Amino acid sequence: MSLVNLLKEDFTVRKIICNVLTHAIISFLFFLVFYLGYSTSFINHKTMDGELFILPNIIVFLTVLSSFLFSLQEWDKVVNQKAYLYCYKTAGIFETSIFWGKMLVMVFHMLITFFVTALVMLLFSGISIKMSRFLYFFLFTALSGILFIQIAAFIKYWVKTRYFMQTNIVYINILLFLLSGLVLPFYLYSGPLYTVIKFLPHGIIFEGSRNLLLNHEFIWVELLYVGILTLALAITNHILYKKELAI
Amino acid sequence: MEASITLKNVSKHFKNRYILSNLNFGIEKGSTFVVLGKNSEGKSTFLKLLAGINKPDNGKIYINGMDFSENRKLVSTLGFLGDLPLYQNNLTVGDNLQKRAQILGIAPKVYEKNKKNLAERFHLFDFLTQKVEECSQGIKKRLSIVLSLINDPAILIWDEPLAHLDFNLRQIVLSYLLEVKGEKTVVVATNEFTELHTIADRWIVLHNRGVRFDGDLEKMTTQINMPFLGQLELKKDKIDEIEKLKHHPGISKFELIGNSLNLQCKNLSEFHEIISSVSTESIIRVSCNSLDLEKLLNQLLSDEGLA
Repeated sequence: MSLVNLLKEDFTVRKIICNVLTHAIISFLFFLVFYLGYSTSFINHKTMDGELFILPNIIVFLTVLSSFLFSLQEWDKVVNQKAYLYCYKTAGIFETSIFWGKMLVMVFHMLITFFVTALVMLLFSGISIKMSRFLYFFLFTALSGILFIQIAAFIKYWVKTRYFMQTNIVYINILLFLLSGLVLPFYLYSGPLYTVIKFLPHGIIFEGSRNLLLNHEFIWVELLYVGILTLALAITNHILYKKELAI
Repeated sequence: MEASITLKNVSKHFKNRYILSNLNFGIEKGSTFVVLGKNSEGKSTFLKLLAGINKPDNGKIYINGMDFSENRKLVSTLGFLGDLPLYQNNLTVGDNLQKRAQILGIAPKVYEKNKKNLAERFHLFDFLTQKVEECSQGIKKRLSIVLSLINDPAILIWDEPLAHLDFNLRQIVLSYLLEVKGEKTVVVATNEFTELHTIADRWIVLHNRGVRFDGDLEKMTTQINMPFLGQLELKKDKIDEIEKLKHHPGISKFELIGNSLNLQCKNLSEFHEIISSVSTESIIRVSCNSLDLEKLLNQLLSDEGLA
């Protein structure tokens, strides 16, 4: 019951509408900027190679980055603003419910981000993806989103300072996304950068979506990697936050 | 009397520093229990332990006979007013109340009834549509009080309920506490003890991680070695009779000026004993300074505190 009360508090109509509108506008702006820059629609652009590859990666990027930022922001509230904890605990919502309730809210936020972004992106681009491929794509992106929710929670546990460090972490992550195949496949890189990015989740998720949609491959290795990492981080975070939230 | 809250060997520490150590006592059902102590002596931590916000490192807390750590749903019987607010600044006063009711799972009809009663009593009705960030400290404090009462809890755990309130609202809060006396168990941590001592059934004074004093005002005045100064105005023909008191062991200062006698005794009870031994025919008037609670507490917390 306490978990339901926590979810009711976070799943307000206003918050959901805000989330939907934000991502619809961001996605629409992408096409507007593209059209204004190239004077042509995305699908009719002749000189750019691999549009299909770029577009899903932008969907993955926006979903994962938004999940990461939202997770950082939500855990920052709980870790740094003890009034939130007071509010929950005096209402009978304790450590386990707070942790998993927040995680559920974040997953729901991520799903809205994915569907709104994918809908607007595919609608405006004119690109069609087979339903079976789209389902795999959805599953893989959702799992990647959950992984980044867990990564943000893990980082927030260790880096509790709010401003300086948190901003740097966001910048570093955006940089890693850009280096990890958002625009160009990272196998084009050489040397240590290639080795590092190959094992970073940032690279794996773009590699997975590229293989799935461009090379039409099943991506068991990537799925397994993301799945195991997500599970390991979720268990670790559960233990860490249970201790942290118990005070 | 039946205990509403019982503490058994409760200890709490933060980063290798013990704030509270081995607390053992019960708080009677329906009583008003006041927690005193200097800053950083663990008053707020003690209340947070009772409210379920903090967990004790050792020991057990029982609420209505049930182990709080195993029955954490008991928190629904508590109303907590803490050192941090339970409201959100970007919401209106009314929205904050509704949000709190929602998170507590209060039925809408019950919530409406409670809101109406409490908003009237604590003068919040005119501010329900106002954003909290635009409210004064006094309104915020009233909102915090109402938030702690919205579920009509049987046990109130209040940290500094009179802070930021004007004289009128202090009276309203005090009269509310008087009204629920005997009905609800009230645990209050405060520095405003001069106002609260009239309604407190029992006080504890926290000091050096433990309980320095546990009892009521009467017990405190009889136990504490605090010099007490009184004046007697005597009939002129009875002054000689009074002279014999000069060597009374309970008197530390004997000063006779005309027919006025200034007496400094070891404590209030000694003074009481001395004037009881004097014939009422000898005395025209007795006067004394009212008991200074701040001095009493300072004396209590000094090394020579207890008799």
